[in-house]
Amino acid sequence: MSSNLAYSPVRRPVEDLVEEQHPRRVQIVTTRAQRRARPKIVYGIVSIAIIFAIFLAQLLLTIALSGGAYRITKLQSEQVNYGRVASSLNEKLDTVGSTQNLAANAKELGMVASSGQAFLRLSDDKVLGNSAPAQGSTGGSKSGADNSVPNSLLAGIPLVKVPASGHGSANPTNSTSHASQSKSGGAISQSPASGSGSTGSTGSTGAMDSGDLPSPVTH
Amino acid sequence: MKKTRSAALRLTLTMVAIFAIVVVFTGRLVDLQVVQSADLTKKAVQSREAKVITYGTRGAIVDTNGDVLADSVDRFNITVSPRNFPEKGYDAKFNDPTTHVSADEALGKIGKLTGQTVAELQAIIRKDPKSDFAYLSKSVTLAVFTAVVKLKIPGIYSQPQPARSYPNGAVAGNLVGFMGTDGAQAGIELMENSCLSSKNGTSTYEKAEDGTRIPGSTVKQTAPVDGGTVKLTIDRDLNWYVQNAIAAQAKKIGSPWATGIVERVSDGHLLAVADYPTVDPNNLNATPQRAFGSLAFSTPYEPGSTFKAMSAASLLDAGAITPTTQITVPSVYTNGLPRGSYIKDSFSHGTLHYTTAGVLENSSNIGISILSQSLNKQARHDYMAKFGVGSKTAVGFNGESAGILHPANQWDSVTSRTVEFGQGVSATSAQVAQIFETIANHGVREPSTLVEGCTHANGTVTDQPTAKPVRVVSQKSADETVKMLETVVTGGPIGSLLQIPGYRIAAKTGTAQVASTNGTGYTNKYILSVAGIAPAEDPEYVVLVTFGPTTLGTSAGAAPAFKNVMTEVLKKYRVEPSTQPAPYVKTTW
Repeated sequence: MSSNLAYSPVRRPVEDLVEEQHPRRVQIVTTRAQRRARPKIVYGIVSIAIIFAIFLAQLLLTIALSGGAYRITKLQSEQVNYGRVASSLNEKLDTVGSTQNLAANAKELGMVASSGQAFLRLSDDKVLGNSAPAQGSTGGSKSGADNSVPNSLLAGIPLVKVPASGHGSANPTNSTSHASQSKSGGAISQSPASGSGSTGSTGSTGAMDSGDLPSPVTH
Repeated sequence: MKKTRSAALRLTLTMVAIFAIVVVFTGRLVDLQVVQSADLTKKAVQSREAKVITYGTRGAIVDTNGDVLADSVDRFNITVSPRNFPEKGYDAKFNDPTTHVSADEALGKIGKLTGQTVAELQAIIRKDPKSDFAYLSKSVTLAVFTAVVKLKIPGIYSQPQPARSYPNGAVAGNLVGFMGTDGAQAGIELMENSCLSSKNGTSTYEKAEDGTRIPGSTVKQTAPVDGGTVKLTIDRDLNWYVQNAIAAQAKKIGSPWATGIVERVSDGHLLAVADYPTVDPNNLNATPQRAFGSLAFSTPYEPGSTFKAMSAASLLDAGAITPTTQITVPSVYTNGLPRGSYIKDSFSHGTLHYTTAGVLENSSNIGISILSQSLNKQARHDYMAKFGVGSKTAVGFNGESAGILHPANQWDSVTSRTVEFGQGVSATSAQVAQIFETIANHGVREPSTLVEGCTHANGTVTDQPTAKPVRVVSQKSADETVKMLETVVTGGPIGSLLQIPGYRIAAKTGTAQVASTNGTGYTNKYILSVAGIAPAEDPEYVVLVTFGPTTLGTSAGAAPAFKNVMTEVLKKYRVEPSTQPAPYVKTTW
């Protein structure tokens, strides 16, 4: 750790040489007090132990740090991967949620767009407008039949399969069998029948969406 | 003594040698640590430093409900280093036991994922065996990319390649536009490019040999900036419906092109702008290039009788006429025209007694010509200009046309009359829709709007519409015009085709003969259109459908599409049925 690695050892050997040429005749004997004052070995051991402990701690800390660095790298690449998976799933969702796909599936299930417009006013239970059963003769279903608004992304995405029991037309058995499969499925299968405005606009005017509102499942 | 001297000499030599070495080492040390220090440190850091580009994502284009019309998606290029590709096969070490995989087997596995044959892949690799880079397959999906990476074939690499996807295909495809290899090419993609584009960032850090960041090293980061989200006024589902409706009708009557517009009266928001033919931005090859833009903005045409609504509103506002002004309509109009010129109606008739409302109801060219005599041509020109004829709409769509409105002093005596029923003047569908929006909005022209705004990554919103509303005619004259237009639906020649049970509709049809391209007279083809306002008692929506040149000479050809679209609009936006029947307006005397 010390940067001062270079120092000059030149002078000391010369002094030593001089001392050897004139050996001392008198021996100096250390007093008891002096001997007691000498450093004890235990201090040395403690100091060295502390130094080693510091080294060890530093080593462990470095290992932990570099381990963390690897973990960060790994997690970051995982994050990128999950981000990609999420965006790929979003892409798929947007595609299957496209108007063309929803319309084609609704048609496949035997749904028809309502031909007239009738509203149920909740404040006074009044039916407004032309409340005739949907014929599907005008507008949506007919023009939706031909592929005037293509979407090449939908190639290879299969349409929903109508259960064999309810095959043929949009009869109630069809939707009930759907509803019995999953409770929330009932609510989903209802909304497209009210028109192509199945997304977005349901929030504000949901109360007017359809006559027989699906009863919510409370937990 | 001699011994001592030689010892002293040796000592001196050693000392000198040691000193020299120390001096040299010290000098070198000072050189490294002090003189070259900064330079060396920089070099050392550089060799450890890695600069990584972090990609920003191009923004999405969404409709008014937030449904995605255009979005960025991850695609990957599978690349190869022909130099490092094992032509003689390789040992798949990750298998247990290790198996030998031949080059053809490896390429076969890739080909199965990317849909290429082994021969195709081989050709790419053998084209330049010494090179270090070639594309094997471009823009593959995440699933293919992951599978190829899992194969762990030496010499095969990959790189991210951001791409664009249009989940709703041709829905509003003409508006959204598309991206080419050089960036945005058309539509909103091009118009709002500065909002949508992203900025790539960089991340610089010191890395170990295996690419891991060295702990504690400083990271210099410039964060990437994602592009903003452009929100359109378009409603995806409605646009799909209108596109279908006009396409079906255009095929039925043999029109080469058609447009359909739904505009909200209160704020001029374009809820649907449909074009036929339409473009699927995911699959440009399927569409002829001339259909790439939006016809509703780019293609002006002589609109014909739909202009009579504007003429009537202008004359009312100028005080030149009233809804009940009584005129006598002869079988031909020649007043003030050069010898041999005349104006006639689409139906032959004797002398008729119409009011202004009657002129509109029966779409009489002669009638509107007579009515227009009471106002000078400069004033009539100025009204048209105020309605937005001859200038681009506030949308400013790329490739948008302003149409043609000649200065009044260039109108000859014939043009001075024909402009009143939409001949000798041209306008785009967007402009015609705007005229009806102005009349429906009690005389105030709300600038047509297609882009609601751009929400940037940091949350700020820009590109909001800035144009100000313009008062064009008085409320009284606008409202009176709407009332008169109701007679077109209640009693006009094709009124029964326009009626929607339960609602009061005001509409005007147009059957405009198409001028021949050589400038002499007219062809036997017609541009059919219907523009309408509903509900008439409190206008909320304007619908305009236009069908390009067809031999069918009656706007009955356009009426079914108008009725379907208007019905859908009323249903979708839950407009309550009218409670009162249309008021009686006197049309004859």
